[in-house]
Amino acid sequence: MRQLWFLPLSALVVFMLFSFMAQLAGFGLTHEYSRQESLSIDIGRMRFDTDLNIRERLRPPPPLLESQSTPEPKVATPKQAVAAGMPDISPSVAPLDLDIKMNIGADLSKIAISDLQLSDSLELNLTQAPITRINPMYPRRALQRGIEGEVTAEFTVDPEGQVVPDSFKIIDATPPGVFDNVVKRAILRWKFNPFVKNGKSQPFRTRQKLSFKMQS
Amino acid sequence: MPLDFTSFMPSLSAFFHAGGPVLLLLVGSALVLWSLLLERLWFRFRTFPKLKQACISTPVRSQQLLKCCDLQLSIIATLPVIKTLVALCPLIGLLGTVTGMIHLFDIMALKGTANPRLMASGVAQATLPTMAGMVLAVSGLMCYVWLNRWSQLQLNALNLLRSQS
Repeated sequence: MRQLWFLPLSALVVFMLFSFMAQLAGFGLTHEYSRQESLSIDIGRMRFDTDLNIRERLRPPPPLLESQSTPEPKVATPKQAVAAGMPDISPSVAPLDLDIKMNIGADLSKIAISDLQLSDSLELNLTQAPITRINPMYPRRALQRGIEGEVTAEFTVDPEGQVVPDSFKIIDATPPGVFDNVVKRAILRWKFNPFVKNGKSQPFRTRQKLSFKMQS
Repeated sequence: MPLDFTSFMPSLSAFFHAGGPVLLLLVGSALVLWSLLLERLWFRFRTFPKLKQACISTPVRSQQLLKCCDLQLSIIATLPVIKTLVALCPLIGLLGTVTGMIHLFDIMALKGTANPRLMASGVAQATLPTMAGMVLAVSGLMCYVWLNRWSQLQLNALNLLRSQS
């Protein structure tokens, strides 16, 4: 068997062939795997004020006028002519009692006065933290001009933890009048932990200081 | 793709590891095929010219005819085996394809199609033997065709030599 003599040589040839194949299949390449930086995801409750969506309302198409074949009978009663455009007061309704009206007014004023006194007599309570903060939107005008500032607001929180809208006051604002509206819009939607005193949740008055800084 | 001779051994081991058992079968058949081919080449360049010279220069006619016939027989000695092996290489590669596919479907039955890395091993087992079979068949076929043409020419020449009388 002369062919056996050529076995080493053929082994060399086959080795070269298979090395060539391994190169073809890409096994000789060393891949450098770049380690990806791990993503860090913070899950927090952050809500942002959004821009107003202004919906354009289309005017409804004018109603198709039917050809009036029969003219409407014109009822020209003198009463209607006199009271054109005014609410028709039916004579069956009795006129309101003036005393009752006065009483209601007095009650309303009493309530309002007591409320005011209550809100004035409340102490500042700066320990209560808001449950839900809503960040105010940076006003576009201030963004364009690069204005930064701080606003301190004082307001009353009712027993349910909601901000009372009428009690909102701007204590201090730099620069004045730029951020006041956004701060008010935001803070009126905040919610607070109810302030519990003697086993009952009480209204309290608190202050919040919001600072506006541009993110450069 | 630059051929880097230092990276051959690890790349070869990875290649055989990925190719599966059919690749080893291919290596065996390739060893046999190339030992036959190299023997034929050796015969064509070293042995045959001497023998032919001896055959032509033989003064006695009957001995010349004998040598001629011997030479004709030795020319076509292992060519049919080589032809068979060349035809066999792609078929073994196809066998590798089928077994690799079976392997792949087993993995899919176990793990589903959600893990492409697991499936890649089956795909490698299916494709690498196929490629190896093709490469071996192409390289072997080139040598075989060349040898075959040469052997036909020599046979014709020897036939002429025999018919001269």
